[in-house]
Amino acid sequence: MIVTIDPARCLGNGLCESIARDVFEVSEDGRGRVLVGRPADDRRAAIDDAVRMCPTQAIALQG
Amino acid sequence: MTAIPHYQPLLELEPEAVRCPHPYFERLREESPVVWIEELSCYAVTRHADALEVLRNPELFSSRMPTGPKAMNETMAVLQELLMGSPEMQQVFTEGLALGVTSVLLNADPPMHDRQRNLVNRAFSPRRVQSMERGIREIADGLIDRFVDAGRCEFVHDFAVGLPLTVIAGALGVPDADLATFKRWSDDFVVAIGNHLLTKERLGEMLKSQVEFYEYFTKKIEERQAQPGDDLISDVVMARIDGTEPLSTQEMLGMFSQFLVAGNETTTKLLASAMLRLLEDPEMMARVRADRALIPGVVEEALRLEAPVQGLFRVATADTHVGGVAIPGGSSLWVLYASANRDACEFPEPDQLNPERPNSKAHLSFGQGVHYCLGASLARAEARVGFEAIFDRLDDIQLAPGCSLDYEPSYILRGLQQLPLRFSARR
Repeated sequence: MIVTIDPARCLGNGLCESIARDVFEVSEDGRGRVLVGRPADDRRAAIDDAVRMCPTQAIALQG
Repeated sequence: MTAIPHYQPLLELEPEAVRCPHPYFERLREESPVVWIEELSCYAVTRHADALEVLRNPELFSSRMPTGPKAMNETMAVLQELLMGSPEMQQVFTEGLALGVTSVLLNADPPMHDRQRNLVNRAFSPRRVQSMERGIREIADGLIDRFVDAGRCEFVHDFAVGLPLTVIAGALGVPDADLATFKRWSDDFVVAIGNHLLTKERLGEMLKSQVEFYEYFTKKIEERQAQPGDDLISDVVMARIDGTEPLSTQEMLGMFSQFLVAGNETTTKLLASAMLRLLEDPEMMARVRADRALIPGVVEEALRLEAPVQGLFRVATADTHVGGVAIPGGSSLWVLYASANRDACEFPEPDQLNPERPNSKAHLSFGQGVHYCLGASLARAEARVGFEAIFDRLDDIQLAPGCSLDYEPSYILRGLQQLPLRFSARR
């Protein structure tokens, strides 16, 4: 699976980071970024949560 | 049918309805989830899915009147009364307008809102908040120091007010000597929010405080522009994004006053309601005391169950539909976070406080969409660190006997006015 953050939507709220620290990080300048673009399958449930919880629906999961 | 709507006691702010509005919300969700409320001149939106749809669509649902048409009209009416025949107040009002009234964040729409928000996000990022945690713990301990040996305290006044106030004052560079003035400004600003007991005198005090606040922070902005530091004001003042217009002084002043209002009362109410929930469930209190990893879950559930902001308003910018109900363009909608938070379609056993609830963060107490609370990370950190300090320093916490639990009579803010406690100091 491939995880991406849409920079136009991301507001750096950090819920993704609080759900999956290993995959998401909000950097010093307040922007979210993906640390692991192709995470292992056992992270799917956590990433699904992050996708749903993102207040601006900025995260996409493919495959 | 001319029957009185069943939610009438809620609209009249009857104490019992204010203390527990949930039976009213439940009936609305079941029978008329999107309903016109004559007294408030708005459509109430009560189901989670419908509320989410409204909040996620800022182009269609504008934030230009976030506290609603009734609050706006009443404030305008009292303002007119105040200004008529008072040259002094007219002067104050004009000064206030010149200094800092502008659409910013809470009451701004995209694209202006998104530009402003993108410039200030870094000031409240999870990393920034993490770096504040030691300071938050020091403040919490300082507050507890003042009452720990007395074996009793009034939790709202002695802890829940002081913690967020001192944290935001520190972040805004307000020295201890000015804290009392800062508190007065904070109290005065909150006056007009969902409080229908607004008098000429109170509004006059609010306007004067606003001018004082703006003058004080204009100076601070100038100081940081000359010499930036490592603080919230500097973060805001120095914020730059390539190709984006930086914030104007008016925008910054508007933001600081919103941080003050949005970051104080709300967090105070969260702290008090979480404490009450624990007091009413001694088993849960014991569990949390024994396993501090449960604190964030309890805090999140307190946010969901006792949303400090019960709901805010939007204005439809075009004819549209919500939950199958036609909404004419220009109508106001009251998005009831507190009701959405108890929607069983989203939260099974919605009235249960379950610190391990997998989707508790899906509550709307911080809103959703582009206006999602900027201070959410800070609020969560304050509550977590606050309760860690409480459990470290106080044992055997009980509600004082014979106290009455009164709630703020407000449409918008929900919380206890007082919470007297007894405890023993941990040695």
